[in-house]
Amino acid sequence: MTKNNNIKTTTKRGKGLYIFWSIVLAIYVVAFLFDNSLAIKSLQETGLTLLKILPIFVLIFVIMVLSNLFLTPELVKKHFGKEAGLKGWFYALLFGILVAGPPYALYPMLRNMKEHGLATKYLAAFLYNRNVKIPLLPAMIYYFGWWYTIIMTILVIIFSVFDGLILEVLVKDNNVVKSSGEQNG
Amino acid sequence: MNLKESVIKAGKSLQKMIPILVGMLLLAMLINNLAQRYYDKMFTGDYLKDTFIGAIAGSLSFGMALTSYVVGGEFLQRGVSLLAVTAFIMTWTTVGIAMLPLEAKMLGTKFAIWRNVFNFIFAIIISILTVLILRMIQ
Repeated sequence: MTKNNNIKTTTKRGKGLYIFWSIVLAIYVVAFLFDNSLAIKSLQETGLTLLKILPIFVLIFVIMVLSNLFLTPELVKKHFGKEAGLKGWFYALLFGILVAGPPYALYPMLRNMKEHGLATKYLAAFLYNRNVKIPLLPAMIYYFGWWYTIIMTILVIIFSVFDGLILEVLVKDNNVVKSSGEQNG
Repeated sequence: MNLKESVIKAGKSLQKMIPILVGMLLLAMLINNLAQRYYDKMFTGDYLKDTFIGAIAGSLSFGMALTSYVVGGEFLQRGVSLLAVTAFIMTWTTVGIAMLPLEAKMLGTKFAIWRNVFNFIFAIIISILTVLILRMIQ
């Protein structure tokens, strides 16, 4: 029974992916027909972005292997679980600010942690604080000034906590994310 | 879990994500390049309307946060209000319409939708507060 269910899930996932890629290709065919410079530019930029994020993916793969090995559900629950309290908030805000890379590149790692018991509130706060990027602060100061940067940074940190609290209530345990074998999106 | 199992599990997670990521990136770049052509025509001069338009434009746009500062800086020089520019910068990094399907698949549909909805609302609130506080202290 389980094997049959797994085969059904895999087929469904494969079909979904096939439909998704058909839509992407159809959109690009239309784009090529109407404005090929737009389509070519978009293709080139996608390639460049993928090249840029490749090293991040290698790093994320290593982190995921290490977290599978050492980050036990008990450990995640203790530091990032619902009952982690102030310590959980502190880590979520700190890592959200310090961790580099585009958010979508971090999704597999975050999903892994979610499966191990990462609370929704910390996940949301972590993602919101990715808005505060220390290496980019000089650029923001250059374009918008010191006061603007300081005020906006403080507001983002404060609102990341609101974001976490609201999402914790709305999404609760986020049961959509179960074990990687069960979940297929 | 031993090392072999850990490597397989991590590999499977990435393997599941990569085809969707590449497809989403292709779509995001197309939307982004298309939206950029209309940046100039988008803003009307109306304070509140422009803030909302800025937030929408930022939500549809995609790329490094630094790009949003450069584009935002250009908007300011062209006379777009600081409120609209702030909403644009905020939603650029916190709201990701283009990556929503990927986020939903990886972190849960309900989580992805609510997160983006609230981040959009918060972006507008933060923009208003930033400009208000800035006016008070300057």
